[in-house]
Amino acid sequence: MRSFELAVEPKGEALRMAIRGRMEIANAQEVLEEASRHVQNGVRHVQLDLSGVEYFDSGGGAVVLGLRERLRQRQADLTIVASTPEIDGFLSLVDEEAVLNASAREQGPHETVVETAVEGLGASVLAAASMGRDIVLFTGEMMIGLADAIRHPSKMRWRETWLYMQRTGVDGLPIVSLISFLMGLITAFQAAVQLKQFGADIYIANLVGLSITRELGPLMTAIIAAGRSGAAFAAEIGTMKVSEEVDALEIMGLDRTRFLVTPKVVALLLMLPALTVFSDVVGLFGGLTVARFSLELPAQVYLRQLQWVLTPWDVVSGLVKSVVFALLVAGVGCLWGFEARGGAESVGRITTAAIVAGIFMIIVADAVFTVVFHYW
Amino acid sequence: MEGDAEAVIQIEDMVAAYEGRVILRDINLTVRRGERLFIVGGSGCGKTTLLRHMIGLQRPASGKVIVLGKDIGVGDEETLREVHRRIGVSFQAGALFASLTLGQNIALLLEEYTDLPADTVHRLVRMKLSMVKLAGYEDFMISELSGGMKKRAALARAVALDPGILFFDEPSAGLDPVTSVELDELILQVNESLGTTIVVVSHELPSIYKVASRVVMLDASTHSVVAQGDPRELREHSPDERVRGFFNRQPGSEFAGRRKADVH
Repeated sequence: MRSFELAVEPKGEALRMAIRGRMEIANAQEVLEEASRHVQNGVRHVQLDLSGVEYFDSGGGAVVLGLRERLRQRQADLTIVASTPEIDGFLSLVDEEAVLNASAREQGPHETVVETAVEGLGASVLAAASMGRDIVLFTGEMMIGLADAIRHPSKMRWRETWLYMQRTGVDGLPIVSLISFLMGLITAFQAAVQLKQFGADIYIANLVGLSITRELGPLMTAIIAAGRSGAAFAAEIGTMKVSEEVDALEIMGLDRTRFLVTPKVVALLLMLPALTVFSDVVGLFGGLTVARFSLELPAQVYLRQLQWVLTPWDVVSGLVKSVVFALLVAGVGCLWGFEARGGAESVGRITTAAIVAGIFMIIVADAVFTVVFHYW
Repeated sequence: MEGDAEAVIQIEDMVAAYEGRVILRDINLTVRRGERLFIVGGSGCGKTTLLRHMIGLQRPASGKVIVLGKDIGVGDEETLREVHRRIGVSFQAGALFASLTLGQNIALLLEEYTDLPADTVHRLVRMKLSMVKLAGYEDFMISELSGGMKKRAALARAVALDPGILFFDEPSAGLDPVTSVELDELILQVNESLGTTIVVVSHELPSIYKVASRVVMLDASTHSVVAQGDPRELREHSPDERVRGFFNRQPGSEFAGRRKADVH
C-alpha cells in the first residue's frame, strides 16, 4: 500500500491538488515526481490542499519547494489553500524565497576579489618571500635556542627532552633495524650477482661497508626520522597552534623556542647519530648474511676485509651527515608546525609538507656532502 | 500537556563512573515529548556526563538509559545506530567538519541515510539552512563562518534528519548576548513548530528562563539530582537555599564552580 494518495481536479488554468497520507523523506521523491506529472502545460495556478496529510517532515517541505521551483520554470505559481497546524509550523521556519534564490556568495556580502594573472604572480612572490623570511627567522631562533641550551644547560627542559629522546630514538629502533638490515641484504645481494662473475666475491665487504657507512646508513635513518619524528613534531606543534596553545605561551611571555623547539632539536641531535651507528652495524650484518649464505664466504673473511677497507673517517663522515640531517628534520618539522592555520585539515596539510620538505632537504644536503667530501 | 505526553527518554537508577570514580549516582529522570529540559548546575557537576549518557557516547556503570524506547545502556551497535539516526546533537564547539563546505556538512547525513537524488538533497540542505537563517551559505567553508554562524550551522546539521530529540551542549558558550538570544529563539521555534523535544546543558540563566520548560539541577557534592521543576518556581520557592542561590545568581552558592579534580 502506498504511503500517500494524490487527487487532482482541473479547473481551466488552475489545478487543485490534494495530498493525503504521509509526506516524508522516505517518499519525497515519489510524491514530487507524481505531483509534477499531473501538472499539464496549460496550467498557470496550482492550489495545494495538504489538510489530509497525517505526517509531514523535511521530505514534505522538499516536495512543496521542489514543486514551486518546477512550476516557476513554467511561469506557473503554487498556493497552499489548506494545511494542518504542524505543516504551517514547519513551513513558518523556512524562508522559501531564500531557498529558491541564488547563494550568498553570488549575492555579494562576501564578494570574491577577481585576481589578474599579474596580481596572482605578485601574490605568489610575496607569499614565497614571506615564507623565506619565516625560514630565516626560525633558523636564527633555533640556533639561538641551541646556543642557550649549551651555555645554560640547567635551563633546558630536560624532562621533555628525555621524552622526545625516547620517542625519536628508542621507539624508532625496531623500524631502523629492519630497514637497515634489508638495505644491507639488498645491496649485498645485488653486488654478489655481479661480483661472482669475476670471482671477486671478497669485494662484497668493500661495497657493502663503504655504501652503508658513508651513504645508506645515515640517509635511510634520516629519512625514517623525517617520516616518524619530523611528522610528529609538525603535527604536535600544528595542533597546539590551531588550539591557540602557542599564542597562550607567547602571551604568558614564555619563549616558544625554549619550550617547543629546543627539546625536540636536542633530542634528535643526540639520537639520530646514535641510530645511525646502530643502522651501520645492522646493515653490515645484513651484508654478512648474504656473504655467508649466498657467496659462502666465511664470516671471518668478510669481517677482516671490512676492517681493512673501512677507515674511521667513513663512519665519522656518516655521523657528521646525521647531525646535519637531525637539524634539518627537527627544524623543518617544527617550522611547518608553526605554519598551521585554521583547523584539523591544516594540521594534516602541514604534516605532509613537513615530511616532503624534510626528505627533500636531506637529499639536497647529502648531495652537497658528497661533493664536499670528494674534494676535501 | 507535556505531563501526559509519551516519555522519550527514561533514565532509571543510573550510575555514571569514569575509571572507577563515580560521577553521577541515583539518576532517575523522564523526559516527555515536546519538553524543553535544561540540565543545570555548577562546573564539574556532571552535566555533560549526563548528556553523553543520554546520547549513547558513554554507557552507564549501572541502571537503564532508555531513549525512544531502546535501552542504549546495554544495546548493541545496531540499536545505538538506530537511535542516533533519530536524534540530533549540537556539540559545544559545533564539531562541523572543517574539510567540507557548510552544505556538504548537512548533505553528508542525507546522502548516508536516504537515497534521494542530488537536487532534492540540495533543496533539503538549503531548506535546513534557511531555517537557521543561513540560506545561500552552503558553499562557504567552515573557517569562513563566524562563531554565531557556526552554532546555527551545527543546529542545521543536527536537524538534518528531522530528529525526535535535539541535544545541545552549552549552546550559548562563547556567543555575544544578542547572538545568544537569537539562538535561544531559534531553539524555541524548532520546539514549537516541529514539536522536537529539546535537551540542553547550560548554566546561562537568561537562556534557562527564556527557553526551559523544566530544569534538572545536578550537584557536585552528592553526584545526583538536587532539584527539578520550573526554573522560576525553584528560584522563588525551592526549600533548598543553595538552589535558590544558584537561580538568583548569588556568589558563594555551593553549586558554583567546583573543579573536576575535586570530585571524588
